[in-house]
Amino acid sequence: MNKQKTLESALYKHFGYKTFRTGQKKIIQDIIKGNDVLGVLPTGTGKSLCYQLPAKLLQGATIVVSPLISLMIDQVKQLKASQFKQVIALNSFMDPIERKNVYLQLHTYKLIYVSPELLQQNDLIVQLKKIQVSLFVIDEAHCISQWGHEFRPDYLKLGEIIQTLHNPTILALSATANHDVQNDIVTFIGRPKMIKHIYPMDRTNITFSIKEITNDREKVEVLEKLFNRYHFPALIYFSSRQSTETISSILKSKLPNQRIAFYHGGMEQVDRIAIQQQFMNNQLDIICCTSAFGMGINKKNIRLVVHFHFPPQIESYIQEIGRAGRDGKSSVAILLYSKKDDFLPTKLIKKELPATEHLHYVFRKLQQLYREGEQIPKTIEQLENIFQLGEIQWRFLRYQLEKHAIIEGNKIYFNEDNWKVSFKLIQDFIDERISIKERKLHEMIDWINEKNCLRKSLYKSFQDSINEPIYECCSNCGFSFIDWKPENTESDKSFGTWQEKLQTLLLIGDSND
Amino acid sequence: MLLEGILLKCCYNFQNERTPSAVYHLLNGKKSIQTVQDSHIYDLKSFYGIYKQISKRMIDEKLNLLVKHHLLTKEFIPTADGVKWLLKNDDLLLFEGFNGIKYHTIAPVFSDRLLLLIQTLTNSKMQHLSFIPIIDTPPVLYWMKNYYRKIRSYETAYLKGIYEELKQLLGDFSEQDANLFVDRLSGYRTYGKTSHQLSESYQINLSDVPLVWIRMIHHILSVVYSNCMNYPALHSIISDIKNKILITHSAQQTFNLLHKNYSAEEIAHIRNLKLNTIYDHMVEIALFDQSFPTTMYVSKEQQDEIICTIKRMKTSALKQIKENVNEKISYFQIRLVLATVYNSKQHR
Ligand SMILES: Nc1ncnc2c1ncn2[C@@H]1O[C@H](COP(=O)(O)OP(=O)(O)OP(=O)(O)O)[C@@H](O)[C@H]1O
Ligand SMILES: [Mg+2]
Ligand SMILES: [Zn+2]
Repeated sequence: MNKQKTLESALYKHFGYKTFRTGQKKIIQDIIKGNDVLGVLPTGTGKSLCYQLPAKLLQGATIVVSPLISLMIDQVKQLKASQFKQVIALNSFMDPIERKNVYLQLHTYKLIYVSPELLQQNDLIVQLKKIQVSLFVIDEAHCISQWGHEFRPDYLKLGEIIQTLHNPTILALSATANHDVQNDIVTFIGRPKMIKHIYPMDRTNITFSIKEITNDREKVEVLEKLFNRYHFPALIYFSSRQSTETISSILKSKLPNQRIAFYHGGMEQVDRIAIQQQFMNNQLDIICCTSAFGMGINKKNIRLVVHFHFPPQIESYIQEIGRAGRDGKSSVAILLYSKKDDFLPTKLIKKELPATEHLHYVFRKLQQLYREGEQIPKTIEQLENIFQLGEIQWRFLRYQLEKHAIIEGNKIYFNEDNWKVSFKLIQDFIDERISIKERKLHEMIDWINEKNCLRKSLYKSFQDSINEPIYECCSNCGFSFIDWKPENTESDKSFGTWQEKLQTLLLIGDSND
Repeated sequence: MLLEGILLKCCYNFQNERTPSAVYHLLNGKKSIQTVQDSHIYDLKSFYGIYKQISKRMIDEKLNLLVKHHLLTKEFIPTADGVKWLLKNDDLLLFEGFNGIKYHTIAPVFSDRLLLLIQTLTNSKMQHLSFIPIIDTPPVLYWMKNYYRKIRSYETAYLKGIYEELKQLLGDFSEQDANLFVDRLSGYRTYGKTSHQLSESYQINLSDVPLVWIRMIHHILSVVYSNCMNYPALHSIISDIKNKILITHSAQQTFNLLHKNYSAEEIAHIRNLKLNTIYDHMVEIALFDQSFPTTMYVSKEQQDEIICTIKRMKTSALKQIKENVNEKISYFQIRLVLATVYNSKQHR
């Protein structure tokens, strides 16, 4: 039997799929040969499989670093549900006792998801060194690059860690890495022989539409009109948790025939999974969500993705609209834009990074702690209290402080000259980050204001040419909703008495079977 | 409004002798002697441990709202309006449905297992093995695995049994509560509604949803336990666990040593604990164990004196009692007598 055959039968055996999707097979073949790979594949095309199948086939363990804990947990749940049992997600929210137990059992897992923060911790590294790590996966690898839309300083230490783990094969994955980011990833990982598998990311079955509007009330009116006309699975993206809740409740009162829910990262894990699963099972039609609603959502027939607020960079936009039309059928991404929206992301950008006054405050506090012979507190609550910083800001700063030898672990090292110089450097770095983010924001706004083809403009920094769209192209090329007539889906409303509902739920037939 | 009602009732019974923290510990089911004893002394046993996920902050917020609406005084004592409100809403609050002291440990286990069981059986009947379990705490999953092995061969009959039993039991509730119960269940290609969705569908406060649910679970448990022959399917979900009487592990150890005739002082020495801690354990034991030899520690006359004072002063506040009895009587003795009195009340 030749090798190709075996790979396909393994795919069927372990995941029940008959064929590979574009890119998967080539990437997997390279990995199995022991080649390092950078894979850039469009959203939702099955990047996870590129390491899940090798994890089954390779000896030893596969480690996956993934930036968002909640998404990581979702994936593990889905894998477990699909009979892939030797999988675990390690993160700092785990109960310490449970974590200890898991550490002792690490060798029994084939696939280990880890958050980048946790990977900085020595006790985990010690355990990982004891097992055989054959594949090291960096998911959402654009987090490595400061040109990436979600630069995560934690990712910068991965290089070191890979070395400590005796140089396993490396797979870096991203859906949104332009040329700069790709180069950064390769340079950073330090494997010049890394093989690049880059696939075009334009989605030919999605039609783009932008509608300029003066205020939120009008946005709601547009939504009302759309959802009075259409009945199908849809997502509406918002920039804040609060607005997902308020707008979903307004829409509920205006659209009694649609089943609507909201979803954001501030919700309890159980509720998040419940809403996700209800959506998957067609118990819900519309989800009002923040960017937290994403991976793990593999609903094939989402026909419409609305942006009530636009995201702060093109990469996020591409990722979010990528939820639409995974079945290949005609789908639309519409962005509702009001000039006033331009301020929102600017504020968010500033909030992510500490301001100069704040940096002063942190340095003073550090000095005070040092004088009192204290260390840096361990818990997030204590940190937030002492430094008046959110978790994201603190993670950012901690990396900077460590890099400039001001702190190491929880210890503080005082040296006046060094602190002065470092302060300036950190401040400059923050300014630079802000200006990068502002530039990305402007790219996004420029795109929204594009007069020519939206599709061409959207993908221009990612690929040299784009494919012909299968359906309508974009609102600038003449698309209008009047001509769009997708299939409406029926929602089977389960009304009736509780006795009837109970009977249906428990699968009790009417006859005496 | 259920939570508000419960808070008013707690304040009413505590009559300013306890702080809001005590209310929190009570609802939360804190495993401390003080809390357990409070629940007996102030006749709030039915609320013990009925709201494990509640936070202190939520209680404070709600209490302050009640003050703002003049249902509570600033000292957290129900106003005349507050008392009226409680009486007026008696039929809606259905406090009698709760039995926290009896079911606070078993109720969450029963509830989790029932939810997971229904989801598992319906999915397995449809040969759909890749579903995300709604409950994924390891002990429940572990139980499910073993249990499923036992019943899979008569899955359909078992589902039918659950259906018949639940139909019977839910008939005891209002239409709304029964509907809410069913909507919360997950099955094949159906995922149960979240608390938030239930609160919207039935126009009840979000904070009341867990209470309404647990009140139903308590009722179901009481019927199932007293009639296990009639509810074999539901009873078997929990037949492997004893509905433990409430006694902390540490108190249990003290209890064992007392049985071997060690004195309180000796036990304190052996266990390397403060004498007062051992006394706490003894009070805890006395609360549950009718055969506790109270007379060994408090003479008959002293007991009478304490009981008389309680009746005369109409109080259960330790300090007041202490000030009005012979000064040779210790706090420990008073608490022991209180425990014995409430224990015998409970069993009568
Ligand atoms: N060869 C295949 N055949 C059929 N379905 C597949 C195949 N490979 C992956 N899938 C399915 O495609 C869906 C999307 O996969 P996955 O979540 O890995 O996408 P992704 O590329 O990581 O997307 P994102 O950019 O959103 O993270 C999943 O439901 C997966 O089961
Ligand atoms: Mg992915
Ligand atoms: Zn176009």
